[in-house]
Amino acid sequence: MTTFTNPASARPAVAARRDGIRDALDVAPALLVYGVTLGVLIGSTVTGDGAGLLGAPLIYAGSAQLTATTMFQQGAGLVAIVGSVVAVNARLMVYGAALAPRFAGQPRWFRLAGVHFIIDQTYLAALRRPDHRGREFREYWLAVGFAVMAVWSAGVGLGVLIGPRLPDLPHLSLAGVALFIAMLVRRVQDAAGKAAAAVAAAVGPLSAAAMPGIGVLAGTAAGIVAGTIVGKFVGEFTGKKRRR
Amino acid sequence: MNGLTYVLLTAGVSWLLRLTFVVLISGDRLPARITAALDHTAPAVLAALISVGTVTSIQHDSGAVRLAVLACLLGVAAVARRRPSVALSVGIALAAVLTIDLLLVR
Repeated sequence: MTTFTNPASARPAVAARRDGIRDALDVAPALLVYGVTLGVLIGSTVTGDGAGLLGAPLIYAGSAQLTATTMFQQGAGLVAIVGSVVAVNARLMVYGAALAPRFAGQPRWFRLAGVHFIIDQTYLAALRRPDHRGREFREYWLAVGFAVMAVWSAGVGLGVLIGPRLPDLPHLSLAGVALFIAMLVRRVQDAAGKAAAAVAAAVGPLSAAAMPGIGVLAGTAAGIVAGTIVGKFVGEFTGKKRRR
Repeated sequence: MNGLTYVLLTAGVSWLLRLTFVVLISGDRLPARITAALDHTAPAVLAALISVGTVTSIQHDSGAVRLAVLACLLGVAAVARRRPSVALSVGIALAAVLTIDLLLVR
């Protein structure tokens, strides 16, 4: 039996897939460095290289894997490890809520499996492509998700392999920070965004000092509140000006 | 608990967190006020990741190294504003890391 594919309907899907690969390539150099960093750190722990390599695609969240690895090495119990992973990864729930409209109406297999690709980089990349909906979003998301995961896993694997041969580089994680700076600069445009970023940047380290592991989540929550308040204030102010 | 068990456990918890507002509690039924607030997630989470990552990285360093790291990150931000390229930003940071760790820290 011959199956015919309508070229017109296939075109947007192909374009969406291309966008996904393009977005993955955009973050690939930085992600590779971040992955290598994590691989080097994991390679120096007692958890074993196999667990570290398997964790890259399975956990697919660098900060959570690093937190769990460190706690496991320190002899922490099951509840402590799970609690810390929840605290570090809670932002993924926020990303899920923001992406939920695009996952709505998708096949069940995609909703169950596709959520695995939700990380900082893929979420932020998808925000830049608001036009991808339905099948296009599915094609885009699978392309960017698999490509980013391949780069990430390769980076961690490389880090585990070359870690023992590298000189001591205690500030290697700054490459990951630089990646986030480059992504932030593109997004801080209006007063609400600036307020969200400023408050999150201040609250994050203060919360981490009080309770390690919750810094990013607490900073994010405070930033969202600040952005909402400033956005509302600016909106009301410009609305009043227009009415005058 | 061995290494594999903790990896599978962490993977399972992470998947459930990702699933929460997509499958378990439908995020598209969230009130409009909450959906609007989510617009600020990206700058907030990025700024928090940057500040927490920076502070964690320099907390055991001397004053000179801290200054060098902060100068490097300010430089990255300044370049990113003029030319928003992730690869360029990471390249600058890597050059700075090698300089700081191989020349300053030793």
